Amino acid sequence: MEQLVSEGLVRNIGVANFNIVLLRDLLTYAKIKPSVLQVELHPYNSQEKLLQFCRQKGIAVTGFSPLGASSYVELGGAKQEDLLIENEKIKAIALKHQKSSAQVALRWGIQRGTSLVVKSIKKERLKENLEVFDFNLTQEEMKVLDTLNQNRRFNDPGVFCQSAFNTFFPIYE
Amino acid sequence: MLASIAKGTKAVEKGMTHLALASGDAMPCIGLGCWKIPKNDCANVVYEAIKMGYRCIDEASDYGNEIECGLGIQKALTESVVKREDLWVTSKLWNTYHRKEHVKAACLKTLKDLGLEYLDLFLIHFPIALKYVPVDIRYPPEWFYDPNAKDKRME
Repeated sequence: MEQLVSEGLVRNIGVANFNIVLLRDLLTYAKIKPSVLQVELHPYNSQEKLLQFCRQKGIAVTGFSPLGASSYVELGGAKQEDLLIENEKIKAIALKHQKSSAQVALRWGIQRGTSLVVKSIKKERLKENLEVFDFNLTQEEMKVLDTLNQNRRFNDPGVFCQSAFNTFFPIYE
Repeated sequence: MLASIAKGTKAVEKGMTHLALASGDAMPCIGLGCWKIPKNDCANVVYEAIKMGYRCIDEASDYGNEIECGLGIQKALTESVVKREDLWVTSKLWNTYHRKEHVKAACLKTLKDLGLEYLDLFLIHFPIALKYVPVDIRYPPEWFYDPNAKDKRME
């Protein structure tokens, strides 16, 4: 990976789905520190300690599945009631800002200093997900979202690999 | 305005469109995630997203749509919707390519599929190393080595 940087094939290297222990290990031998960590982040899985550790180490964090369960309902990994957009507290904040619940969840991610990758194939949704730079959540609203954490991970190889592939690849205890 | 990672500031100013990386690069705060975008839609979705203002595309060889994603990127570049240096492209090294001798080939395959000369960011997709599967046997290799395993279960 490091050689790819010196050869000019990639500008930055990093890791995904690592936890703090793995990052600690990586930092003991990496000649080029990881620029970015990409992990599952949303109000139901906020991983605050991991974020704090990365801030301390100068590693930027990207959140995948920033809207939580939405990608996993069709895969059988989540239920309708797990959807962030169904959350009444998020709905109330969204109403105040004349934004959607999805936009509030994304804005929360941005204001806590992460970048986000979000998928849609619908033009109107793509547009909605991009329109998150013209409003601010207040500190109180950020706190409300912070308290929604349930350590709820929808993308855990220790779970989905067994159901989907009949193999067992746990990362998290 | 760049949010400062290193200082850990929880900046609340409006905007915050990019994150500053330790390398000095600036990564857009919103990216298009390509996981589960169907092959048939991918080129168009990527192209439309770039036209709409997306400047970050998040890919992985495992998503199985890098060729189609590349077509969308190329269209946007050809039509001068965006310059390459203003676009951020991330991809990921799959679990079967962790061995030293397979990393560069995997990266070159992704670059070729995307039609790019360089990636802005290359991530190790999972901290899980799986047995090597040659590209001509199966691509993307997914999670298991026996290529018939999936079919057997689906019967």
